[in-house]
Amino acid sequence: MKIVWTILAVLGLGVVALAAHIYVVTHGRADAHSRGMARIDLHQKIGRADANKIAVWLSQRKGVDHVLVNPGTEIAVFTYWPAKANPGLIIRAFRDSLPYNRAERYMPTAADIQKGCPMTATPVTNKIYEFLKHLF
Amino acid sequence: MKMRKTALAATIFLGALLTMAMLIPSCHKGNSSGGSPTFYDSLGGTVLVTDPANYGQTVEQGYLTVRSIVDTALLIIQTDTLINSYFSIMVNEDTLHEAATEYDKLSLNITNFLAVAAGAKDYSYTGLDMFAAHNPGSNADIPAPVDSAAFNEFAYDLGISATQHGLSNQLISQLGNLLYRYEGQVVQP
Repeated sequence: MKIVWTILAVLGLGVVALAAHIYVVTHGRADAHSRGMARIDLHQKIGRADANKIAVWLSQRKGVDHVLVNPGTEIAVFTYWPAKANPGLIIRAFRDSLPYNRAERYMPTAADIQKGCPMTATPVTNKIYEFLKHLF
Repeated sequence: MKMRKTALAATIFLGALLTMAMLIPSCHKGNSSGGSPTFYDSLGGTVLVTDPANYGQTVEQGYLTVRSIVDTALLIIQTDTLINSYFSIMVNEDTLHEAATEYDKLSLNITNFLAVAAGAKDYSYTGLDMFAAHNPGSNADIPAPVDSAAFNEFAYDLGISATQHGLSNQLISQLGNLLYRYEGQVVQP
């Protein structure tokens, strides 16, 4: 009987340790170091000078990390720290401040996300993580 | 009799601990590289440097190089209309900010994969292998096969990023060789 209790205790400790690990791994990155990415589809032709002007303007917003503007595809992207920046407000200010009123924030639809990069998928063992993640 | 029971319990205890250790993938294993120099060594190897993205922490120079290339490449890819549809999840915003962003996850996964493939010993990649990840039959996240053109564009964007980070032509060539080792697994009929 004592052995059974020992086994149960060990397994219980293991589950607690696993849950703690999952919590830290899945919640630990939403801190000052966590970064998001936002994309602006400009929907109008721009040149290199426009691209530079857009890049400078975006770089000067608080909480923006890196900026890239591609004049060929008319797309601007930037990474930001969610703890410091609200990308929706930045993009609204962008439209109000610069002469790109056809610009709009690109947000993927559920169908777009379904086609997403498989590198975010995880193997079978991590499916357990995904399940437990929802519990915490 | 009591001694045997205690020994049995101790054995089970150790077995359970080992099982748990195998189930929990390590995010950062302490180890050092040895043997002949790897591509990872050429990128800076295991030399610890200040991590510019994490105040007060250090990171291996090789890993930092790979992460910098990947992070810039993700920006390039997102503006590249030939392949950005594969990566649209990166710009999805979780307004609650309670978990890592999709950008964080993708950056971490691709960085870990490339660092380990280049020869890093102190980091691990715990995602799907490249064949399973890109096989619509086994991964619901990839509804259609990746074609050769998309793979080439991904490699090209990564190369552009590597150039911007000052890698020599020789190192960029090595990066290309590394990527194309997985082409047969990523591009499936």
